[in-house]
Amino acid sequence: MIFGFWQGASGLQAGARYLDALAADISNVNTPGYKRHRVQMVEVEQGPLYRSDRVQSSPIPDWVRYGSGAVLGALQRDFAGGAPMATGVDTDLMLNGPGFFVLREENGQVGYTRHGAFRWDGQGHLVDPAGRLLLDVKGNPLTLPEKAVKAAIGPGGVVTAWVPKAGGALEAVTVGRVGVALEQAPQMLVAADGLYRAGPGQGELPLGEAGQGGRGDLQPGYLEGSNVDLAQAMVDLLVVQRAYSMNARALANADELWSSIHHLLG
Amino acid sequence: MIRGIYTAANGLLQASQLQDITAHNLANQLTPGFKRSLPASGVYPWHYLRLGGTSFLMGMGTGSLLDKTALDWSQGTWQEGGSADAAILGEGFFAVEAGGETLYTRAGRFTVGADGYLQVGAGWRVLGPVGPIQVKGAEPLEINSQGEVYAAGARQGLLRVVVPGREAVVEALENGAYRIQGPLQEKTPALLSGYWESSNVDPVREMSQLLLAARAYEGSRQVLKAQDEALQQASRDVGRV
Repeated sequence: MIFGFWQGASGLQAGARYLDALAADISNVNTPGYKRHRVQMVEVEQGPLYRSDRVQSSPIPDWVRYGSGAVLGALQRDFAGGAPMATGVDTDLMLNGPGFFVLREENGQVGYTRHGAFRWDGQGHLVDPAGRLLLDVKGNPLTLPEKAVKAAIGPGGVVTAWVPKAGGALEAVTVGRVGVALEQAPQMLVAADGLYRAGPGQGELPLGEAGQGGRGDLQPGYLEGSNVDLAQAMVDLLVVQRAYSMNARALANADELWSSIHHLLG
Repeated sequence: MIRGIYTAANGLLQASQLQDITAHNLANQLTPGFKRSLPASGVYPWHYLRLGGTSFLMGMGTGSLLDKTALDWSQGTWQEGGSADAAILGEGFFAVEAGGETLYTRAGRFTVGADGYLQVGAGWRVLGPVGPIQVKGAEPLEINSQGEVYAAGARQGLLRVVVPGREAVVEALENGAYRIQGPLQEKTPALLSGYWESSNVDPVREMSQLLLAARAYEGSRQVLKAQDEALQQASRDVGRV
């Protein structure tokens, strides 16, 4: 029996996931490189209830159509760019346009991110806040030469180190170029552990130089802000909460109707 | 009295159907392009009774029923979105492909799917004048007010917008899109870029309708109860010796 249960329940389920997405967005309003969710709900129409006493004479009989509520049609990310935040730290990087930084974890797995707060660690590697290695255009970790006393990242992602020569002078050595991966349809990426991984059936993304082949430019000294619009997210939160409680009311109503019939003869 | 029970049952059924329709509208308040269902009640066939041995005919109704449901085609509210959102100004539908068929929708939150094609709604491929629109190029995705699709500044295609003729029949399908049979006219897209059309559900009206359904149900239930009690009395007390 239908009685408004499935419609109300589906509205609550979809609404709960919508609220989850909004809550995640609001909690990440200050996370560099964070991409907000884009939620789309879709209606579910059950088939028509055919009226047996009607004769099928018109092209589409005037059946009573039953809707079965709503479901989440798509839960995606909005990859619009975030605002640049100047930090003055020369190992903070921002991609001004499409593309991702490429990180390698301890277990060898590759991940992608827009969060560009990198630091030199004790072993001379350029790492992210979780200790994952930043890769260059060839897919190798960016590693400083042992005796390097100074390093800088230039526009375009060229990493230069200065090594003391015999005689005290410093010699500039090119360490590598920060690799930028490009994905035509970033919706395929799966978000996990604070970075993106290649989705099922997706190979490793092609690496290239910043500013080449559609990739955005690299800006050292800046971080990309979260693209969450807090005002919009709060408004959405209110709206979705109200819709949620209305669906709960519809469900409760259906329950009352059921229980009143159930107690009719009892 | 048994006829009375059926009459009351018809009333219960109609009230519960009204509850279903209202719950469906409420569940889809936030669905892009959703059009709310309107219930239309009718009267169940009348019976004509002959009184006693006379030729006097009395008409008696046997309850109500949900005659048909219709869709309210009024425009939904415009929600501010991003560059990949577009709302149709005035009449018309976007053309999409789903299950090998050309279907139509007013949902306007566009994305690029995993297969590289422009998508909307529940993953339906969006159609241009010659077929599904393929997007070659990274995001950001942009839809402008003429319906042109851009990815990272390069033009990818044009959206197709159609307007059904007066005789066309629009059918709401299980997957949330519409099937249109009958005359269709291609329309030059005139869109509101940066906004998407939300549902046309008025929560106040729906909540009132929910209450109405509950009270109507209660009323018919009382009638059912009264009919049942009368029948009980007739079968239990009247025939007693």
